[in-house]
Amino acid sequence: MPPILDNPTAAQSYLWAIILLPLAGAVVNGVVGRRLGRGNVALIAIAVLGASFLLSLMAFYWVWHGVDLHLAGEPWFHVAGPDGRVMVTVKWGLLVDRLSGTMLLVVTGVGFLIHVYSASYMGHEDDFGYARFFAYLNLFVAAMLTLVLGDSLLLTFVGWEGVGLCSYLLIGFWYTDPQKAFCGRKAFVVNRIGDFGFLLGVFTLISIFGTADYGQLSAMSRVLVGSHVLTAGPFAGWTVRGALTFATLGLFVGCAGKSAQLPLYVWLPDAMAGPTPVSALIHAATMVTAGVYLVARTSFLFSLAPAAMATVAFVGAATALVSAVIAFAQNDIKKVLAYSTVSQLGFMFIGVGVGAFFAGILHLVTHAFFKACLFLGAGSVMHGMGEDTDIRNMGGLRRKMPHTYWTFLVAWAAITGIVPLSGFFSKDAILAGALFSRNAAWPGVGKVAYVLGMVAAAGTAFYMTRLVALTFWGKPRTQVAEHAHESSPVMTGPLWILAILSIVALVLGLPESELYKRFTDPVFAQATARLDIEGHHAVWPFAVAWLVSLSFGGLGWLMYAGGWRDLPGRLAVRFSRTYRFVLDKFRVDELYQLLVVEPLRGAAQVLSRAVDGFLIEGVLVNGSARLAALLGRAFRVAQNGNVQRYAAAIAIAAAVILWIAAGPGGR
Amino acid sequence: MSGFPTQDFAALLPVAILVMGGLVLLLSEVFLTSGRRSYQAALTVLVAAAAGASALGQPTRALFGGQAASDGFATFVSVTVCAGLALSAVVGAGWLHARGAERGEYYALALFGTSGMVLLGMATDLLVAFVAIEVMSLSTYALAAYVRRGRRPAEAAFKYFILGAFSSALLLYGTSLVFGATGTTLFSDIAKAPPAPLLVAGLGLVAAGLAFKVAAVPFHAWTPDVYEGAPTPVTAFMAAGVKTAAFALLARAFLAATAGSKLEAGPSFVTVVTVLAVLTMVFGNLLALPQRSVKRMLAYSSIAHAGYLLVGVVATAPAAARQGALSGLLFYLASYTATVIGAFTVVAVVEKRGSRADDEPADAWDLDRLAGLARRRPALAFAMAVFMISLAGVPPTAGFVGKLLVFQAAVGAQAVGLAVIGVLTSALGAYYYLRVVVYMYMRPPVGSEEGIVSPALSLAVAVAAVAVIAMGIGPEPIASLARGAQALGF
Amino acid sequence: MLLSLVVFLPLAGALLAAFFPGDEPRQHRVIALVTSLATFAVSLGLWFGFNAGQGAPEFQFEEKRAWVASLGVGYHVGLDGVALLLVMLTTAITPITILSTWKGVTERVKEFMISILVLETAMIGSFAALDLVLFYVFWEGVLVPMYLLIGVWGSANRLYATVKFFVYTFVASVLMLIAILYVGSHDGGSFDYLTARAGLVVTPQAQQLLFLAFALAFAVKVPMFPLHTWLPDAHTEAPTAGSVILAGVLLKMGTFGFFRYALPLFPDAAMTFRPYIAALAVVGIVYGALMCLTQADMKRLVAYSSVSHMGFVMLGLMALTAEGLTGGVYQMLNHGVSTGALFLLVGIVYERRHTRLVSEYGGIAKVMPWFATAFVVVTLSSIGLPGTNGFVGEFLILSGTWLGRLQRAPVFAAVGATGVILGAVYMLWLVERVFYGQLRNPENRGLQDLSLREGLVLTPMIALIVVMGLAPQPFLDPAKPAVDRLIGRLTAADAKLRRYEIADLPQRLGTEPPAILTVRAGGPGPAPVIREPAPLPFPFGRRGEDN
Repeated sequence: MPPILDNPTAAQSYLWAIILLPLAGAVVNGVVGRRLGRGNVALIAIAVLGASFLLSLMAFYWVWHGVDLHLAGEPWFHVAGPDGRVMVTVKWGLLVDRLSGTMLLVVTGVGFLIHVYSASYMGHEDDFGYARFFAYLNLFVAAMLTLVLGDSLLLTFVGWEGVGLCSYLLIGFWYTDPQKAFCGRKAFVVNRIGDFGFLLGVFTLISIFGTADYGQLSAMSRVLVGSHVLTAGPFAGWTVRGALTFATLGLFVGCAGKSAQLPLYVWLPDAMAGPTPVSALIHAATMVTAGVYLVARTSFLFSLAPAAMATVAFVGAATALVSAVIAFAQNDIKKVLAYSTVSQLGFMFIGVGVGAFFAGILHLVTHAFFKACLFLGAGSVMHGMGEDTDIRNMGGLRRKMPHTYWTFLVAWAAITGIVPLSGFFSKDAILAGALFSRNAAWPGVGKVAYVLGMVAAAGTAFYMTRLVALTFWGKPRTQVAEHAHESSPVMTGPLWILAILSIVALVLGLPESELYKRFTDPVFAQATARLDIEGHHAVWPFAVAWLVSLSFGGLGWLMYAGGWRDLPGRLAVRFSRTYRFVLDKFRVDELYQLLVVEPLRGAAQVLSRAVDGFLIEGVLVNGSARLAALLGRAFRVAQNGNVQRYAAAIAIAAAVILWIAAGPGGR
Repeated sequence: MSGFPTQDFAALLPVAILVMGGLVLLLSEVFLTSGRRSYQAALTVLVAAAAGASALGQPTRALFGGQAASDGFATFVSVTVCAGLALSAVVGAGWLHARGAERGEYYALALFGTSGMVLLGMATDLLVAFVAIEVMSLSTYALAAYVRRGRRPAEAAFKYFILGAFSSALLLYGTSLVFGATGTTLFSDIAKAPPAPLLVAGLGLVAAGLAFKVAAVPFHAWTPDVYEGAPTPVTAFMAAGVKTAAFALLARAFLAATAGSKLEAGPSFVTVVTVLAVLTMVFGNLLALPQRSVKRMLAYSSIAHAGYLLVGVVATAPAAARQGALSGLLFYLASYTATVIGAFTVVAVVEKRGSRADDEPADAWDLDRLAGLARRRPALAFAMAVFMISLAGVPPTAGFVGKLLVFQAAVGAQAVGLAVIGVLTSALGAYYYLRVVVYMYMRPPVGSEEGIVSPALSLAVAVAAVAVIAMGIGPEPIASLARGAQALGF
Repeated sequence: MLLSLVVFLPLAGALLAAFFPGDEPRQHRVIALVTSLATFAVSLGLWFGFNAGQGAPEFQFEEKRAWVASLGVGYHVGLDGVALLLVMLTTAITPITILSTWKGVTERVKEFMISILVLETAMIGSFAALDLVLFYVFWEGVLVPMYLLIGVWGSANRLYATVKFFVYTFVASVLMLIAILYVGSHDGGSFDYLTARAGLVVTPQAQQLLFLAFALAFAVKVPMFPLHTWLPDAHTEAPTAGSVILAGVLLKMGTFGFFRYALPLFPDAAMTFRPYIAALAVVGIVYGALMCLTQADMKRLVAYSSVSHMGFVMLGLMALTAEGLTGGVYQMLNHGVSTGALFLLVGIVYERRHTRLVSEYGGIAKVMPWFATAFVVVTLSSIGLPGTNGFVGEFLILSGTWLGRLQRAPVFAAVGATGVILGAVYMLWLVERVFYGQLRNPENRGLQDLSLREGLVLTPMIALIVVMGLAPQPFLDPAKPAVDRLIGRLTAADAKLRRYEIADLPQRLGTEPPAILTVRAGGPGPAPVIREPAPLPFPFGRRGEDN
């Protein structure tokens, strides 16, 4: 056995390689990539990822055996006060436990597949673009791994910002299209708004605990009692619960930004401007799930702040429903998937919000599989359709691209929750968890989340069926669809692997064994113990969920492939205004434009004119200058060269001097 | 009045040397009528040097029963004015030569005037002071009109004469009042004299007369016209020498009026000078702002600087700050002498000449004359920039150190308000001094005249510039000299 | 001796250059470059010779000579860690700027290079001076060469800009001169910084006036809202080199002044005015950022971004925590590097197209890929992305403010943090408008990518950005002794105040300890016993559960 498999310290010393390998790939491809030739570029990119996947397996081997790998890293930077106390420090410390271990496999595994897929998909880029793409993609993986492996909120934040950057670069990959460039910036800025909350949360935690290290935080929070009162610091007078609620809500704002929850979800649909593999990797499988990961990672803090958890659950549920509804009316295959991603993320947040942390993470995993599969499938379809993304122009692709079709179908079954695919169990675990949860701050939130979630699930079944029906079933509706062709095996290969994964992943969630629940139990025990959640054993939620997905899937089939095919059109006409409204995504972007962007611009304009231009410049600066010049000119009048007048002035002045010298009134 | 102890005359050696030099030059005009007159300037410089040197060796003591004082203060003043004389003589040489108007009288008058200045630096008696002032003034009146046939010089000299006479009258009348009140005109006795309205009135009139000589607002009105009208070298000479000498006297008189133990009138004279200082600083700078004629601008700036010097005078009032204030004054005068002569010399170089040899057109000193100077004559422009920066009081120049000393004294004398007004107005001044730099360095040339090219003028400019920078970077020698220069009796 | 050498070497170079004919620009470029490089080389001696350890003297490389003895003005120089960092910044940036002007400046090269070298001496001197008058001399000495740089080699509206720059800053600093004179002549005071800091005894009112006099001069230089309006004009009109030095070093003189003079000399007054200054700093952060949204001129935009960034520095200083102060110092360096680099970059396209208008560009990433890459990297540093120097500074500042004892510290930190969002908004918007989209303007078709020289100019900057981002500790450590001493000094003054005047004065300085150490039971029930946490080897999983 290699040494890393017989003692954990040896294994720990390899953890950084998991991150540094993709980083190295990014550097190489970024600097000299254009000269290497695309073959080597792809080779490097895929190889480094494969390598870090193997190392991840090694790490996972240890957590599987119940040993957490924790590399207490060197400090990156730290500032000690005069008293020697160090409050603010960032260490290069990495931590692999069963939570981050899971993420590790997902990121490197799915990442690997998508790299392979991209090698062919990005084939039509020029050399420079090709190298740039893989450099960015590797960089992203490195950042994402930093986010996952970081052993403190701060290192996580570093990765957090890093993935934000890569997402910006990759969404705007085709920067010559101003629209795409704009989408990239929109994504970054919205994420920055989230990060603002994240930062405040971190600061709050530091001012409470004096550290942002997960280990110390959990250790200290273990002995905390919510009702106790803080007597020092900015939160003096607050209860522990209150302060932690503030902190965790701050973190959740960050999560909402990164994971596209209400009200910050607006960037994700636009993020589809990026190349499809990017959408699959970043905007479906990994980055956007970072928020869920963070909530699960800090579960021990959230469990101390019921109000925050209730918020998480409710926001998740609301997001799930809203975006599912929007997805009904979208005609762009990637947009539909995007909104479905937002919706699925909502489900995950329900899970972590109601205390079913394992369920949230489980759904994260399964979703990573089937949503990546769906996106890559969509990419393959777009290839076949010559980059056309409008599903109204498709149809009948079942025959044209069988591999794509079948894998897509599997993924469809998984997401709609057809027994016995993975998606069903993970989603059910979430909803059941919501149903049987209890929350001190808002007792009813679990039920509410359950209902909303169930409706959203129904919606999911419906729009996913619609998507499949319009894309693959029926007859080709255009010439392009007529002549669509299957993609290369380099692309279909990953599709099959992902499809299979989204089937076999069901073992993790089987209700009786509850494998994954038990697996992650050590991580979440502290939180669940505080929330005293008992696992649910009722059966009826299964049935309900199953019925719902079946029936609405069927409805979707009827309306878009079956007998009622003319119904959608009539509905669209009948409720045209509603339809438009949904089609326009509830006009949320317009709303933000109106409420945020324009006012900001306006304020800036007004300030620059009124304050900078007029008040400071005009009045204070140049005003005083003009005044001086004016006075100067005014007094020149006295200087008229007239001797008599000069003499008079002298005489008067002399008189005044006498008067002063004699002292006022004379002496 | 214990007669005239002869050894006291030794202390007057500088004056004597200067007068002798003047006479020699006059005679040379009569006998040596060869065309070449460059020796005259050289002779003047020699005489000035000799006078200055002879002033250095003097022991500190009161002369003629306290009517004059041979002390460090006087020595410093003498050396300063002699240096100013030498420098402006060189300037005169170059300028007059270019105009073909070189005459011995010019230098003779300058020497006579300087002798008056030196005497003024020593005077500790109102009558002696009056005589000295007259000696100084009469020769400067004549110098102002030196270039004959010139319309402006004539007008300038005329104004100067009329108003000067007026102020002398005030001075004399004040003196007589003082004498009537106290029976003496010695500063030392006045300081001890019992307060009487008549005495206060007399001193008030004296103050008015001196305020005219130092061109303090509102006694300044003659300055711009005279400075602009007089031949530029003469202006330089006046701006440097007359100001120095007048301030020397003013300082001694002020001390007599305020520092004396008996004279309760003291504080009110502090008030008088304070008011004059504020008015002078504010209006001097404000009036200089809109000027386009560099020469006129410099005239107003000289008024403004009189304001700063008055701050120094005020600072001599409290005994604690006196020594600092006096040395500050002296250093300021020295630095100002170098700077202002240099500045006027540059003006003399670039000024436009009218059709007739000696009459300058109205725009003779317009800023445009300096436009693009940095391209045409970089060295000259650099020197002018140095002078302007020094006048603005920006380090590392003599002007900065001067202001530093004077304002430090003011702060030490609890006159922080005056100091604040001083620095703020000098910041205002920075604007018009910089405008000159802007024209020289940042604007294209207007016209292509080179101005006068004369080794003498270049020499003068160089000497002045070096002095300004040296006094800015290494002020210690002169500063310590000034610090050591006691004013006898206080 | 070493320090004096660093201070006056550039001046010597300038004097040497003065003797060379003006009509051979090449010679002057070489002289200037060699001189500045030599200065940098010598200054490395300072960098490695400096001892930031415990018990090391506060000021090192100290030299004290009589200068104007009759005034009690001495030539006294020395470096603490902060000054050292800024001196290094100066000596490092100057050669880069000189190299950057190799082609850009063809007019009166001699005078140009002389001005830059004189400027360098003045800047280094103002960081090194330990005598108030000497400091003032260097401080003002900076004005004239910069005035010439802007006024002679600037662009269209340069005269207005340069006169404004000079008068604005001059008016602000003359009051400081009076304050210096007061300190020098007042009992217990002296022109010597150390003596004055130790001995000065003045009434609270006087102290407040003195503080304001100093603060005004420094606030204009920083510049702090609302005294910032000279900056956009100066930056916009200045030649590239001028902008780089202005942003890179000159602005730091203001913040440095607060750190070195205003705070330690007048601690009580500083504590009195601290909230207002902090408020102005925060306003500056947001205001500057908003201004950036309205600019059509690249340089103007970068100039306003400086207002925002320097606001961060001031906020960090006013936090008066180790984190905040260190972050503030670090942010000075960051701003010097990244904003300096931004001006270099803008200058590079300006040399090609002779316009700074954003609207003239667009889509030029296609033709200048390397330039675009460099620009984006610098942008990331300027918006404080982790991995770049900007993040370290901004993070330290914001956390330091949050943890500080300033009244309503979290609010200050939060509002300041919005500057991080806005920073991303305007910088990325700029990048988008300049580099992305279609290459519409035909004049941009022929744009050349970075030349070798330009690459040479930019490489050190970008290297610094990355190095200072990934390994900041070597740059943080030198500042520590100075920072600790400042906090100690202010705390002592506070304690004195507490003893003699206000007994129940709340703690106003330093970092709040973790709140968890002082929790008490809210309702009934005993307070939990919480000790300082020991880092647990295996926080999660089984072992976590065992205890």
